[in-house]
Amino acid sequence: MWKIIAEKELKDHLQSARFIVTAGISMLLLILSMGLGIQHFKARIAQHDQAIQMMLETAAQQTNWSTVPVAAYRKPDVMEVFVNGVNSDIGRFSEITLMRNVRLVRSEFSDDPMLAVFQFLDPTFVVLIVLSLLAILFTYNAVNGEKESGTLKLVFANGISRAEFILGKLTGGWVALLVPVVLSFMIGGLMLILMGVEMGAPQWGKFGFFVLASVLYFTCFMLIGVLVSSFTARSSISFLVLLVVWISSVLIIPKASTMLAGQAMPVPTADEVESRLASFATQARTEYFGGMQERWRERFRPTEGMKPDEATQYQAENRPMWEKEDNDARQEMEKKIADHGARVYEEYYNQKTRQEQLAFSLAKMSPASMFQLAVMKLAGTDTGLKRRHEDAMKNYRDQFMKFVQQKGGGFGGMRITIGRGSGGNVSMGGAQDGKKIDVGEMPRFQSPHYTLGEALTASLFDLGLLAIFNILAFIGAFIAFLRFDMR
Amino acid sequence: MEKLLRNDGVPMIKILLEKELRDIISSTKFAITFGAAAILVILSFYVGIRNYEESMREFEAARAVNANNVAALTDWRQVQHKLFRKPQPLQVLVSGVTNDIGRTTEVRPQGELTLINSRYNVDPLFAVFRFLDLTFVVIIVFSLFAILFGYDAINGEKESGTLKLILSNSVSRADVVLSKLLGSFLALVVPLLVPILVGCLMLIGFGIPMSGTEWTQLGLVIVAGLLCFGAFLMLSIMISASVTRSSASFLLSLVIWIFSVLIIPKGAVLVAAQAVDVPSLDGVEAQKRKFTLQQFDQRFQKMGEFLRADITRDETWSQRFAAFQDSLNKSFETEREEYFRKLNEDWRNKKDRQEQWAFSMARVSPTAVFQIAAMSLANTDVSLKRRYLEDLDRYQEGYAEFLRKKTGSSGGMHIVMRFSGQQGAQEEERKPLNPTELPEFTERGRTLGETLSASLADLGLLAVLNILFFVGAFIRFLRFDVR
Amino acid sequence: MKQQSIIEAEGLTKVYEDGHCALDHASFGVQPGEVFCLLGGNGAGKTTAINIFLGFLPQTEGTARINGVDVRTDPLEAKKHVAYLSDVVMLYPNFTARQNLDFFARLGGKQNLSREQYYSVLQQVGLQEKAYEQKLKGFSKGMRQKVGLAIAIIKEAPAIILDEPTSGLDPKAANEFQSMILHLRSKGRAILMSTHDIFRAKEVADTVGIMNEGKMLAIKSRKELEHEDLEKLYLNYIHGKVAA
Repeated sequence: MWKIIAEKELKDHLQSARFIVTAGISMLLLILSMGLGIQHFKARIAQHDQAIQMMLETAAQQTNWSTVPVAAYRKPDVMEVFVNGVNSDIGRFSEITLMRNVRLVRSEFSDDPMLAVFQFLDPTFVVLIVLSLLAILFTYNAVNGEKESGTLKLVFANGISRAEFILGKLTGGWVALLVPVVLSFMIGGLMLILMGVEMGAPQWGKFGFFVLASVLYFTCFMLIGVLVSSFTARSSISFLVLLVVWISSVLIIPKASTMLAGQAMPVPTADEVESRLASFATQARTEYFGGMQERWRERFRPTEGMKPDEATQYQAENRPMWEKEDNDARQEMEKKIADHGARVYEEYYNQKTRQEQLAFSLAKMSPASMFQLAVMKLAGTDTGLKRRHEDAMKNYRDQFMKFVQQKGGGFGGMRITIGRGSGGNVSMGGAQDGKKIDVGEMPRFQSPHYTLGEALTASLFDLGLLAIFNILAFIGAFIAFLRFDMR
Repeated sequence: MEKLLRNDGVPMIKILLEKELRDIISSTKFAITFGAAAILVILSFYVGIRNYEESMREFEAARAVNANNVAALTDWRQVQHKLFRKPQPLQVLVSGVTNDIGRTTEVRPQGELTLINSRYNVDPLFAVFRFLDLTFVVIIVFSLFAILFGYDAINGEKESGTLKLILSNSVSRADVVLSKLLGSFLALVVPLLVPILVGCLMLIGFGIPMSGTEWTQLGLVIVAGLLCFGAFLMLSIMISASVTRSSASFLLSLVIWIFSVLIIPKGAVLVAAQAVDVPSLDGVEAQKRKFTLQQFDQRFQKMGEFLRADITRDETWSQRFAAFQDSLNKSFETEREEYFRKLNEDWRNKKDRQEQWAFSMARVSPTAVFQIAAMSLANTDVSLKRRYLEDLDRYQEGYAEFLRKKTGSSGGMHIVMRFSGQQGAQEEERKPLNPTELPEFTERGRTLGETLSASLADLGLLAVLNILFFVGAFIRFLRFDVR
Repeated sequence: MKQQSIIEAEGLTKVYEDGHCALDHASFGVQPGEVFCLLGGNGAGKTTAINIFLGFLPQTEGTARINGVDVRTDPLEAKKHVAYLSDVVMLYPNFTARQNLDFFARLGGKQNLSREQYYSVLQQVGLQEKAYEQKLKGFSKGMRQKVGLAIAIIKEAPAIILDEPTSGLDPKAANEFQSMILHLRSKGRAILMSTHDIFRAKEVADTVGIMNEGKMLAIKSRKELEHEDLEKLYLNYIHGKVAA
C-alpha cells in the first residue's frame, strides 16, 4: 500500500512547478559550484607549481646554501573543490629560516581580499544553504497541506494505515529530491574526469562519503519538515516555524557557539605567544653572547704578557677547543629556545583545542554544523589543516637545516675576514668558491598525506551523529503523524 | 484636490495605509519573523561589542608585550618592533575583510613591510562559521523578511477577495498600490528601527568609544540596510503584482533571493577571477626576492671594495665604515623602493581592473550593493589593506629617522665592528630602552568626506533600485487583472 | 411608469484579444426595489458583466451606468453608488469582524461610525454576538459571507451587486441570506445578483435574465414566470429550442 502513496508522492512532486524550478536551481548551482571549483583548483595548482619553480630558479642563482631563500608551500588538494573549509583562510606557505619558527603566512584571502568579501561558492555551501532550504520547501506542507486540500481524508477513507501513509510520503519526497542531487554529483564527477583532474582511489572515496553526508544532511531537514508539518494545523504556520528553525540551525547556532566558546575560554593571541617567544629568544641569545664575550676575554687573558708570535701560536693551538666550546654553547642556547618554544606552543595548542572542542560541541546542536564539520574533516580542510601542515613544515625545517649544515654552511651565518693592514673581505658563510649550487640536491617539502582512513576516522563521529539525528527526526515525524488530528 | 479629499475630507490613502499597517502588525507572520529579526539584530550588536572588547584586549596585550620586549633591550639596533592593527568599533559591525587581512607588522627601518597573522589564519576556528555581524543579518535576514511580506501583497489580496471589495469602492488603483508600498515599508521598517536603536544604545552603554564620524558612518550603514530591505520589499511586491498566484510569486521571489544573496556575488567574483587575468602575487614576490638577493650580493661586493680601499684602522674607522654602510643602505633602499613600487603599481592596476569587473557584476544583486556600500562606509572594504600599507610606509620613514637619531645609523643591514679594547665604551651604553620613545603609529584612515565619496555611488544605486522597483510595482499594479 | 434604472447595461459587449466573446450585446436595467438575477452556467458571461460594472474590466462596446454615471468615463464617481459582495469572501483573517467592517465602511465613505452602529449591522445580518470581536481566521464560510453582506449593507449605496452570493452556503444560511436580500429590496435598493441556482433565482428575483455564451437570451419578470417552469425554460433557452 505504501508504494502507491510513494508513487503518488513522487509523481506529485515531479509534475509540480515547484519541483522543476527548485530541482533545476539546485542542479545548476551544484554543477556551477563544482565547475568553478575545479577551475579555481587548477589555477591554484598552477600557482603552487609556479611558486616552487620560481623559488628553485632563484636558488639556482646562489652560490651557497645559506643564502637560499626557502619556503615550504602547502599543496592544494582536490577535495578543496567540494569543501573549501578554512583552506583560503590559512597561509599558503611558510618561510624556512633559522631565525624564526615555521609560520604559515599569506592566506589566499589576505592576498586577495576580493575573494574574501563574498566567500566561496563551493558545493558544501550549496548543500548547506540551498538544499536544506529546498528540503523544507518540499515538506513544510506534507501533512497539514494535504489536510487543507482535503486529500488526507480522501486517502484515509481507504484501507490504509497511518504508518504506511507516512512511510510512503517520506519515501516519495525523498526520492524526488535525491534524484537531482545525485545526478548533479555524478555530473560533477564526470567533470572532474573530463577536466583532467587527477583523482586517486582515496579521493574518490572521500568524494563518495561527501555525497553520502550531503544526502544525510538534506534528509535530516526533510524529516524535520514533516515533523513540524504534523505538529501544526496550518501550512503557513509550519512554513514560518521551519524558516526560523532553518535560520537558527544554518546561520545562528554555528556562529553563536564559536563566539560563546571564544568568550568562555579565552586563548592568548598568536601575537602574544610570538612576542613572548621572541623575548625569551632574545634573552637567551644575549646570555649566549655575554657568555662568549666573557669566555673570549678569559681566553685572551693569558696572552697579555706574551709576544705576538707566542700569542698567535697559543691562539692557533687553542682555537679548535674554543670553537667547540662556543659551538656547544650555541647549540645549548638553540636547544633552550626550541624547548621553550615547544613547551609554549604545546600549551597554546592545548588551550586552543579545548576552546575548539567547546565551540564545536555547542555548534553540534544544529545538523548544519554536524554536516559542515563532517565534510571539512573528510576533505581535510578543517581547523586541523594548519596544525598538520605546520608540523610537517617543522620537520622539513629540521631536515633542511641539517642538510645545509652538511653542505658546510653555518645556516645564515656570515663571515667577515679583516686582515690587519691588508684590506679585507666580507662574504656569507659556506662555500666560497663561487660555484652555483645544485638545486637538485635540495630536500623538497612534501605536503602531509591525509589518507582516506584518517579522513574517515576524523569524520565518522560527526557522520554518525548526523545519522542518529536522522533516526530521531524520523521517529519524531512518525509519532507526530500517528497523533495528527485529521479532522 | 477634490479627488484626494472626497469622502468627508478623509483621504482614501490614509484609510488604506492604516489598514495596511494594522494588517501586517497583527499577523502571526509578523510576530514570528520580526521576533527573529529583532533578536538577531540585537545579538549582532552584542556579539560585535564583545568582539570589539576582546580584540581591544588582545591589541593592548600584544602592544604591552612588544613594549616589554623593547624595554628588555639596551640597543635600539636589536629591537624587533611590532605594530598591531588597532580594532575599530565599526569593523565588528561590518567585518568586511578585516578578519582576512593581517593584523601584525614587523617593523624594520628598511625593506617592504607586510601584514601577517590575520585573525582567521591565526584562529581558523572562527573561520569555520565566520562571524555574525550586522551586515550578515541585513543581507540574509532582512531580505528574507522583506520577501515574506511582499510576495503576496497584491495577489494574496486577490485570492482572499478583498482586492475586488476594495476596488468596488470609489478608490483609485494608484491609491491602493501606493498605500500598499508605503504601508508595508513603514509597517516593517519602523519596528526594525527599534532593535537597531537598542543596539546603538548598547554601544553607548558598553562604553564603546565612537567618534561623531563613526556615528555618521554607522547611521549611513543603517540607512543602506533599510534601503536594501526596501529594494527587496518593492521587488517582491512588484512580483506579486505580476504573477497571478501567490504560491508562484513566492517561489519566484525565493529564487531571486537565493540568486542575489548567495549566487550572484560569489559567482561574479569567481568569474572575474578567471576572466580577468592577474599575474599571481607569488610571481611578483619572487621578482622582489630576486632583486633583494642581487642587492645583497652587490652590497657585499661594495663592502669588500670599501674594506680593501680604506685600510687604515684608526680611531674614526668604524665611524667611516658606518657612514659608508649608511649611504649604501640609502641608495639601495631608494633603488629597491623604486623597483618595488613599479612592480606593485603594475600588479595593482591589473588587480584593480579585476576587482572592478567582479564588483560591477556583483552589483546586479541588491544585497551585494548593500555589502559593498556598508564596507566602504565602515572602511573595511578591499582597499583597507592598501590604505593600511600606505600608512605603514609613512610610519617606516619616521621609524628610520628615529633609529638614525638613536643609533647614528638608519638601521637596516649593518655590520657593527667591535675591536677588542673598545669594550669600555659599550658598558656605559647598557641602559634599558624606553619603549615610549618609539614613534607613535597613527592610522590616517579616511575622512568622512572620502568615505562618503567612496560609498555614495552604491548608496545612490540602492536608492535607484528602490525607486525602480517602486515604479515597477506601481505600473504592474495599474495593469493588474483583478478579476 | 418606467422608472430610471439604477443599474443599467446597454449593448454591453466584451471581446477578448484572442477573439473569444464573453459578453455579446447584453442590455438590461435594474430599478430601485428590484432584484435582478443573472442566471446562467459557468462561462455564460454573468461575472463578466459584473466585472464591467465595477471597472475591473473595460468593455469593448456598449455602456454600463450606475445611478446614471457611466462607469467607463467616471469609475470612481460611479463606484460611490454601488456596494459589492464578491464570490470569494476570505476578507482579512487577522482582523475581527468589526475591524473588517470598519475598514470597508470607511472606504465606502462612512467615517466615524460608532461601535454600536457596526454591531447593529452585524446583528442585522445574523452574526452571533460573540463573533463580533473575533478574528476572521476561525470563521466558517457562512459567517464570512455574513460579514461580507454587512459590508455591502453598511455602505447604504442605492445599487448592490452580488456575485454568486449563495454558493457554498448551507440551507439555513442561504435562507437567512435570502431574507436579507428581500429586506434590502424593501428599502428600495436596486440589486443585481448572479447565480447558477435556478431555485434560488425563482425565490428572490423580480426579474431573471437568462444568459448563455455571453448572450442575454431572455429577460422574464416574476409575473411571467409564475406560469412557467423556470428550470425547463432555462434548459430550453440554452439549448436553443426557444427563440428569444
